[in-house]
Amino acid sequence: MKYSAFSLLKQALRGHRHWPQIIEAPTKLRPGYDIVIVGAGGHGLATAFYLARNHDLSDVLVLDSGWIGGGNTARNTSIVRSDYLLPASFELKNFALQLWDSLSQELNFNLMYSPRGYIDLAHSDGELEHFMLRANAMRLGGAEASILNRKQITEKVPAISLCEDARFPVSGALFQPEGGIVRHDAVAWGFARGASSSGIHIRQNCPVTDFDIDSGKVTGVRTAQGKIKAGKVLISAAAASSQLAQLADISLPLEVINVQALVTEPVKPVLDSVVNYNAGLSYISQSDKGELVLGGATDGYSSYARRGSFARIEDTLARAQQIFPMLSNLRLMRHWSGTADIPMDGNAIVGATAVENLFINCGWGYAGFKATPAVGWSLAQLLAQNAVPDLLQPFALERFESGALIDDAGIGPYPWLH
Amino acid sequence: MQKRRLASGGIIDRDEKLYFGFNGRQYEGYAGDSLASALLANDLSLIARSIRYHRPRGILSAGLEEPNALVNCADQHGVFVPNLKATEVKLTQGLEARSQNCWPDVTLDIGALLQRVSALLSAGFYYKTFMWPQQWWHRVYEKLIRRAAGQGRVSTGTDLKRYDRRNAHCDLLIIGSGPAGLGAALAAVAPATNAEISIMLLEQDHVAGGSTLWERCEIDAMPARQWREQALASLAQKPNIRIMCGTLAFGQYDHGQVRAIQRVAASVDSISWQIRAKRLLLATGATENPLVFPTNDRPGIMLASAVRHYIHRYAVVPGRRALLAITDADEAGLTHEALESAGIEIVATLQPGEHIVATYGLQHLSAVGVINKSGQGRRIRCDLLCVSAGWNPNAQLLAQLGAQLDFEPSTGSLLPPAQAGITLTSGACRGLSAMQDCMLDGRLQAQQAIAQIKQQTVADIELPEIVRCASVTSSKPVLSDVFHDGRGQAFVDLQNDVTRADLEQAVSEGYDHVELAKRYTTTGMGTDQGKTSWVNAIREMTRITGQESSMLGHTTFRPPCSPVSIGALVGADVNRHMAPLRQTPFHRDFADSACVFQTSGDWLYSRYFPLADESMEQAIRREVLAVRSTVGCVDMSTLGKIDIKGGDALEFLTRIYCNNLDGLEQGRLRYALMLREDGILFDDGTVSQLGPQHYLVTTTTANSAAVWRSMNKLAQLRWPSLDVQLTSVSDHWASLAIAGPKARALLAALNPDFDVEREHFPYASVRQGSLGGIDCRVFSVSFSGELSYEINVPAGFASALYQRVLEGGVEFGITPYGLEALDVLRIEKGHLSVGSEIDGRTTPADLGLGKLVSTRKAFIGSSLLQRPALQQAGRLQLVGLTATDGQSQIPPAAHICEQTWQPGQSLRSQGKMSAAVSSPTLGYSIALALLENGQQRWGEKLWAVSPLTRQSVEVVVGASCFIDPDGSRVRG
Repeated sequence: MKYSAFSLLKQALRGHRHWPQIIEAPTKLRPGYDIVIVGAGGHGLATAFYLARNHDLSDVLVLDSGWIGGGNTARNTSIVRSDYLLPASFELKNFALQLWDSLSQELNFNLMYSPRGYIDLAHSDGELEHFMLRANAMRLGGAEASILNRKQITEKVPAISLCEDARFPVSGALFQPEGGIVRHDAVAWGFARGASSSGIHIRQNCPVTDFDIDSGKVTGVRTAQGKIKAGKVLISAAAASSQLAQLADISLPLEVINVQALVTEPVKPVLDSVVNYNAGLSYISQSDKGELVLGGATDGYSSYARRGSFARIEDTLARAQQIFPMLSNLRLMRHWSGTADIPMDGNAIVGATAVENLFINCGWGYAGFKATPAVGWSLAQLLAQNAVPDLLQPFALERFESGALIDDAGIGPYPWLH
Repeated sequence: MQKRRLASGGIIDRDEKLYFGFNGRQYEGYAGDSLASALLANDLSLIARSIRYHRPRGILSAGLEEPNALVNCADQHGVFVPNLKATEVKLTQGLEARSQNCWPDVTLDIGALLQRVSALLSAGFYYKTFMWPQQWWHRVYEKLIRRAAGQGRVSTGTDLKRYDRRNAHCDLLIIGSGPAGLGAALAAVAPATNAEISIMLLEQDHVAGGSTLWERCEIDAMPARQWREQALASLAQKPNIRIMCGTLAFGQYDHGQVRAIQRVAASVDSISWQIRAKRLLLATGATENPLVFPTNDRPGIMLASAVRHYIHRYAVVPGRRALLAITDADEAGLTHEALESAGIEIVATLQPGEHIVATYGLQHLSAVGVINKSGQGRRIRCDLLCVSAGWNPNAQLLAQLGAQLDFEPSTGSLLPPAQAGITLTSGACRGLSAMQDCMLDGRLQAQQAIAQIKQQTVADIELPEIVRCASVTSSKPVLSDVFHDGRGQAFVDLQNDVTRADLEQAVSEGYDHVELAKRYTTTGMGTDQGKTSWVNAIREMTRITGQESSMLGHTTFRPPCSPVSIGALVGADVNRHMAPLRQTPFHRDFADSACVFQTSGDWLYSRYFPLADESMEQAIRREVLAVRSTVGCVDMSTLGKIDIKGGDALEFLTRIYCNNLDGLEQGRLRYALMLREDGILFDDGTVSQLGPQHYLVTTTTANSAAVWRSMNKLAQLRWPSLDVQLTSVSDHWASLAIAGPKARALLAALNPDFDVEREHFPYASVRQGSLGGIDCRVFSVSFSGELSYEINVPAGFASALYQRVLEGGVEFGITPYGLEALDVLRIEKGHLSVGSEIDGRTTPADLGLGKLVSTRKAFIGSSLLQRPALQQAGRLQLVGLTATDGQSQIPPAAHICEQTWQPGQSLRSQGKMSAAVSSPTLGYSIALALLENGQQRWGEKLWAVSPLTRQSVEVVVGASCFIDPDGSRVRG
């Protein structure tokens, strides 16, 4: 059933009792599938969706140990943008931005893509010059970007405090008008619904326990619900990717780092843009529900616990309050932690592995959400055509052996610093 | 005139009248009131409007669980804070409160028209529409939705309140001061052998006592209130317990850390506490669940416990005609007694098999529709409906650390274990209900906790057995089920306006996991953290899905368990107090020299030294030319300095720096490079040999902490067998570089006790001695490309050194210069800067320093540097650029392309500029850039393109060193 104002009205009159399920739950799994995707997060579900949409492949199964979108799709900044200096990072995220633009209509599911503008504050002239370099790279790559002076920042963000003698003064900002936020949970639901309507099977609460590998080639997966044959397998499981890859004797050059975020109590609109500020290593935006969403740097240690130290939250708040003094009049409503899988150059690992027909998509760290549709699109191409699309070439696992690193931040093999 | 106040009773001070404002009108209450009790005493029951449908809402509870009565309150400085629960606000003199989410006011709220279309605003309706036309979501619909959503309005006024932050350690931390908490505290302090045990007890209410303040029960055969007074009097005698009221313990973190906010009325508004305890005893009580029936949200519908609370503690009459719908018989009895004592008429008590199918009333409850077993309905006139669907333990602080709570279907409670890690639970917090039981349980659990604490020092102590929760005495619901159908919305989550129908719809649409249903419907995601909604939501999900409730589980509990002020958490870490801003030892003297400073990262830098009326550009130009022609001085104190001693000091340095350090001798220094493990250039600096086993290395300012950390990690973890001692001396030495053709003459004029002539003190040397009596280390190194000496003196002598340099330099025209001029000088010379050329992606070879990398030794990064992609063609390499026409300004932050750029065009970047400057020395524009295969492309003409400024300037590629390529100037 297509979602529309009309169908909403029709269902309202019938007491909302006849909406179809977003996922057609397969009563029974088939003994085998052409493609099995491990991980029903945004990336896995987007890959499934585009396999059907772009390549007419629907003999696909998506498995998850928990619920759809329950990993980093449920815990992220919800920010989308493409303000990267390095071409590999820029091109993938900029392609994603182009897809985000019409994805709600494509999926017939309102993802609430809100291109409200992304503002990255520079705290010194040197930093601003670096932002100009980035803005120039974006424009050369076909994206819109500009530099805002202090007055322009204040016009766009009236709640900001740009006091001259602030501890971290603001000298200007990079502005990407197409940057903004997307309702993150809806991304998983929209892609799941789209994939499912094409006949793709999605099975929740079904952990993968092992891979069947026959003379260097993957032939199936073992799950809590039995053995499933597979032509190709994609591991797309964020923080769980290391353990899954280990089952196939592949060790991944990444670490799982604790990253926290928080929301204030919901208030009426007070911030219309997404603001990032390096002095706080922090970002802030206001959700449509009214909460101010903030996050900061990693906790600096590896953890799978999905909870972090309160000192980091306090630091994030203190730094945010420098820029937005109104925060002092608000209350912290909830803070939480996610697990970011961060490789040794801080960038993702996507592509083939040493095991034939076993593919990997992980290591997205902070950057996974914004890339979701582009990753799904490209991975579908990879799985369907057996050739690595140009957009994914730079992200191959081999780069750690060859040294062709994609280190956006220039930080090096210290995942907790990325 | 407080219409609804009883003539006597309550724990309020009738001698102290407090006047307060609500929605612009003045009212009075008493000291000891909460805002909620004062509002009720004044017969105000319509407090707020709900978030989605703008339905009239009153006061449901008497505590932190309140979902409805959200208000804006002004602090003592008149700054309004939104979303406060009227039940958590202590009444103070002159308090100003306002309803929120309504216009023009709470009684005549236009937004209430939304109720007419409530059928359209069902669960997740916004995911299904607002998609056409494509751009309208952001341009139109989102703006409307955002305006309708949110609750209160945040004030942009400056928060003038004062906050403090404190830390504490204790053996046993008890949270909650009800029967269990006080019972635990009494047991913990009782035996003389516990005198050494330190105990803290936190109570979120501003008065200790918990339910003893409002429940008419007996403990130890005396009225609870009397028992409480005795208990508190007895605890007051004990030196080893500290009781803090008004202190909300909002979160538990790893390693026994509890965070709390203490509200105090004295000189500060609140104190943020960090407490570490060996054992944590939760006596946090339980929260009553409301019943879910059609239109269960009207003002006048109140939790049964809240009704008793208002009557007994505040002497407030919450209604005149009451109907009881309470699942538990004991509780119904207590409520009955309370209502009778307040003279409230009890019009009916719902019997087993009877259900509420409707409620009536415009802005307050006026009647309730009930049907009995045989389906006969009747309408009962009443203005107070006391509801209860059992109790749920307040175990958030335990669950936040990941402990799973078990759903007990018979009582509809999420029960915590008796102990998880260092956290013990007791009393109502683990499902007990009778006061005496809670008190006894608190006692037993305290004894258990104390025994565990003592066991850490006394090995043979016997641990008392953890008593299994003998009986969850809150009996089964009497009404056959908590939910009932009928006309009208039955709210599961009152704050977020989530109805049973919403949950049913979510499940039927496939959002059948609790986490999915929560996110789709927003159940439990409000400012009340779902305290009154979660259990009912789980029960409802169980019913709809037919799953066992134990299979459903619960969502993760996240701190804080109730919202806490961000102002209080940030405390005094505001403005300049947030992070220290470092000043160099020359700061005061520079300020006297009219220096303009700039903040960057940790430091306040000397940026330039303008003469009267000079612009920044003019000053920089003058400073640069002075250095190139005579002499200038610049502050180098921010560089990192690490003193390294020991028999293996040289070996240690040899393993860290990629240079060959073999020939280094005492009194000489070398420019040296340090790589990361992945073969990428990390930092540059100098290595000086000061003595036989004594070295001093410098780092860049940006990396000074990182290099220090890295060296320590290597010394302590990777090569612990090396005899090497590291000392950070960055702050001990003030460093002033004098640079320019006259630098040697100036150095001589400073009365050194060593020979400064070129042959005795050549380039790349270090001398230790004194300059006119000031101890010093002088390094002949240059960043500017001129003859230069970096003079280090103990930090306390900075001022003396600077003054002597200025005096001694008068005859040479000494010119203090700042970091802007230094940057220009280094760009002219083609020297590297971290963040620009050393950008975390370049190797030494990329920057033309490949010959410095030793091939004869292993060092950090040596093996990964050999990776093919770090060697092969196509890498970005450092080059210098000049405009082909010799006069155009090369735009800053440009990219290097084959052709010019037109708007709308995509153009491949072959490289990026790292620095560009108009060279005062050369008289034209120069730039440094990282260009693909740059070192093979000297002489090639390309375009420096800056779409931002719409500039394209043709440039020619060349060497990165524009001044004195053979280095004769630095040798003087």
